[in-house]
Amino acid sequence: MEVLYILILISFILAFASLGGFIWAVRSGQFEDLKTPAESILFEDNTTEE
Amino acid sequence: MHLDDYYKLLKDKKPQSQLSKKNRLYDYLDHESIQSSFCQEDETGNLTAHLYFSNLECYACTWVCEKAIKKRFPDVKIQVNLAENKGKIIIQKGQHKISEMAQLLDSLGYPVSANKNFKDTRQGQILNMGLAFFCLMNVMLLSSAEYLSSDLIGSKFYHLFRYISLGLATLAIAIPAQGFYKNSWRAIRTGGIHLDIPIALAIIFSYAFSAYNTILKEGPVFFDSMLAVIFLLLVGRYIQSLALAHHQRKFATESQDSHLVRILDDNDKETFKEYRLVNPGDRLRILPGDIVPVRSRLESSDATINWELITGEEKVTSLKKGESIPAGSYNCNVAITVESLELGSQSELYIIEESSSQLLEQKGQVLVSSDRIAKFLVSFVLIVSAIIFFAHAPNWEIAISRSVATLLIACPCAFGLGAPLIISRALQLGLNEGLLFRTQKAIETLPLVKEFFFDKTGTLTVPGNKAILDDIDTELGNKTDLAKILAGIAQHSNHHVIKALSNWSGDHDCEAFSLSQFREDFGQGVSFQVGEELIKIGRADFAVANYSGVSGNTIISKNHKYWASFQLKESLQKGCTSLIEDLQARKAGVQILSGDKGDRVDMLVSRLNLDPKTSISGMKPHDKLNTLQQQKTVCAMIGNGINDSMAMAASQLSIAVHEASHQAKASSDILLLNEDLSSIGKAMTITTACRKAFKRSFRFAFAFNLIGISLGASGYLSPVVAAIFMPISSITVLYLASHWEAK
Repeated sequence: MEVLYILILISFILAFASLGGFIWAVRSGQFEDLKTPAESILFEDNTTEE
Repeated sequence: MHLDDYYKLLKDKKPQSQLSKKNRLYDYLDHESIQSSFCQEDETGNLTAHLYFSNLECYACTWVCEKAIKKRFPDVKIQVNLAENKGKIIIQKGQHKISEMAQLLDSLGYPVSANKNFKDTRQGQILNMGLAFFCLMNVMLLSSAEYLSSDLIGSKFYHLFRYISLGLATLAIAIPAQGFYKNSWRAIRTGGIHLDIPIALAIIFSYAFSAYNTILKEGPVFFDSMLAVIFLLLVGRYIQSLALAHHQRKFATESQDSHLVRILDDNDKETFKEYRLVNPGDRLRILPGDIVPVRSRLESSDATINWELITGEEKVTSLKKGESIPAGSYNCNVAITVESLELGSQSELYIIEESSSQLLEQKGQVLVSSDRIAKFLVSFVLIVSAIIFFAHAPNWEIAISRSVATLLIACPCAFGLGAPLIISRALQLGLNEGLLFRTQKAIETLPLVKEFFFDKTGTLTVPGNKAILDDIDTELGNKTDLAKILAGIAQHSNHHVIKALSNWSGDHDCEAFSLSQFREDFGQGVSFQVGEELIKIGRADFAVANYSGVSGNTIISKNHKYWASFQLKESLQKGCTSLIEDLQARKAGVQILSGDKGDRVDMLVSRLNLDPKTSISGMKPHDKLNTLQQQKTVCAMIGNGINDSMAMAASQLSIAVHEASHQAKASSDILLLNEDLSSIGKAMTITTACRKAFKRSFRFAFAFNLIGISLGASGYLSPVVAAIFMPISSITVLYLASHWEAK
C-alpha cells in the first residue's frame, strides 16, 4: 500500500502542472476571445496585391 | 452594403464617406483629454485605442475591418473581437489619427465608439473559477474514495486524504472565495446587508467545522460540498457579468458621445468639453445635425435652426447674427459658431436630463424586488442560526453543526443567483428582438401596464416618408424616366426625403440609371449627374434657376429647369398597426398625446381605429407631464423628443423609439434598437414570461428554504446533507432561471 504515497505525489505534480498551464493560458490572454480565432482559419490571410 | 463597399475601397484607396444625417464625426477621438479614457500608451510610444464596433455580424465583417485598416495604414495593428464587438488598434503615437481609422470603418458600415470599460477584464474571474474547479475536482476524487470504501475508514490513508482535502480547501477559501468575504465586510462596515454575508459565514463555519474534525480525527467533514458551493456561485456570477458587459456595450454604441461639445479658444482651435461644464461666454462650434446644448447667441452671419426636438413638431427658422438660440435646438444647415449665455449645468436641456434620471431612480418602488426578499431572508437566516447556536451553547459540536446546517441549507443564493440570471435571460431575449431593457424596473413593470401613452410625430408616424407625385412636366421626361433616375439615389444618402423618393420609384419597377458626382447640401437638397444631365432635388430656390412661381420643398429639376414636384406625406411607423392591435388584444388602453394640430391627430386616430376621445392634440411638454402625473393606473409613455422626456421620466415606464433624442433615450427604461414598433408587443411577451419565471423560481426557493430551515433548526439535517442539498437547489434554480421561453 505504500506505493500510494508515490502515486499521490505524482498525481499532485501532474495536477499542479496543469493548474500552472491553465493560469499561464489565462494570463497570456488565451481566454479573451474564443470566437474570432476559431473562425479566422476559414478566411484567406493575404490581401490580394494589385 | 458592407462587402460591396470593401471591394470599392480596394479600387479606390481614398473612400469618401457618405454624406448623410447619420454620418458621424470622429475628430474628438484624437483629442488628448478624451483619449485618456479609452487609450493606453506604452514605453515605446505605441498607443492602443480600445473601441466598440457596431454591426459586426460574422467573421467576414471582422475580416473586412481588419483588412481595410491594414491596407490603408500598413504599419497599424488591429485586432477585432467578434464575440464582444470590440477591438483594439495599435498605432505609433503621432503617426496616424484614430479619427481617420474610425471614419474609414464607419464608411464601411461599422460605426465605432470609445470603449471606456476596456480595463474590466474577466481574467480574474476565470482564474478564480479555474482554481475553485481544480480544488473541487481533486477533493471530490479523494472523498469518493472515502464514500466508496468502508475499509478505508480509520486507516492512515483516511486521515491523509482528509488532510490533503483540508489543504486544497484552504487554498480555495483563501483565493477564489475572497470576493465573498470582501463584499460581506464592506456591507458590514457600512451597516448594510449583503447576500454574501450568509454565504461567507457558511463557508467559514463549514471550513472551520471540517478542519476541526480533521485535526481531531473524528466526525464528518464536507470540504467537497463547500467547494461545490463556491464553484457554482462563481460560475453564476461570471455568467451574470458577461450579460452585464454585453448590455453596457450595447448602450455605449447606441448613445455615442453626444455629451461632448466643441469649444473654440481665442485662436479658433477646437477643444472638447462635456456640455454640463460649459461656461457663459464660451464660444461653441455647432456642426450640422448637432444640438445647441445651452441658450446662446449666434455669432455666425446666419443659421437655419430646427426646433423639432423641443416642440416635438418640425419647425425650421432662419436666424441672423446676434439672435438668441434656445437650448435643445437642432442646427440643420452649415456649421455655426455661437456664444454661450448660461452655465451648461443650468441649461434647460441639462435640467430635463438630470430630473429625468432622478425620476428614473425613484420609480417602481411599489414592486417587491428580489433583492429585498433576499435581504429579508439573509437577516432572518442569520438570526435563526444565531439563536440555534446560542441555544445549544455549551454543547459546541451540536451548536456548530445545526447552525451551519441552517446557514447552508437556507443559503439565499437561490434568490441571489436566480434573479440576476432571469434578468440576464430577459435582457438577452430582448436584444434578440431589438429591445434594450435599460432598468430592471422596466422588466418588472411592463407586464403590469394598463395604459399606453404615445407621442405622435416621430413615434407612431414617420414625418414625410411617403412621396406622392404632384406634378410632372412631360416635355423633360415621363414618369418612367423619373423613376429610373430616382431608383438609384437611396444608396447615396440616408435622408428621409431621398428614401421616400426612392420608395416611390420602387413602385414603378424599373432599372436604375447610374449616377455620378452625388452631392448633398445640408438643408438645401442634393444634386447629381446622370450622363450629361444635371439633376437637382430639393427646395425650389436650390433646384430651379428661375424659381418664382414654383412652390414646394421637394422639387426635381433637370439642368436647372423645373421637371417635377412631390408631396411628402406622413406615414405610419413600421409595425404601428400591429402594435395597436396587439395592445388592444391585451386589453391595454392606448392614448395619443401630441403637440401637433388637431386635424392631423384625428386622421391618425381614424386610421388606427382608436376611440377619438383617447387623443389630445396641441400639447406642450408640461401638459404631457401633467397628464401622466394625473394617472392613477400603471402607465407607460412612448416617445422620441426632448418634449416627451419629462413625461417619460414621470411615467412608471418609458419607452424611447429608435432615433429618439438623447434626452428621451436618457429618460427611457426601454430603448427600441430598430424602427419596428411591434417589438413593444414582443417586449410585453418577454417580460410576462420573465415574471412567470420569477414567480416559479421564487416559489421553489421559498418552499426549499422553509423546509430546509425547519429541518436544520430542529436537528434533523446534518451539515453534510445540507451541503449536498444546497448545490442541488442552486442548480435547480439555475435551470429554472435560464430555461424559459417568451411565448
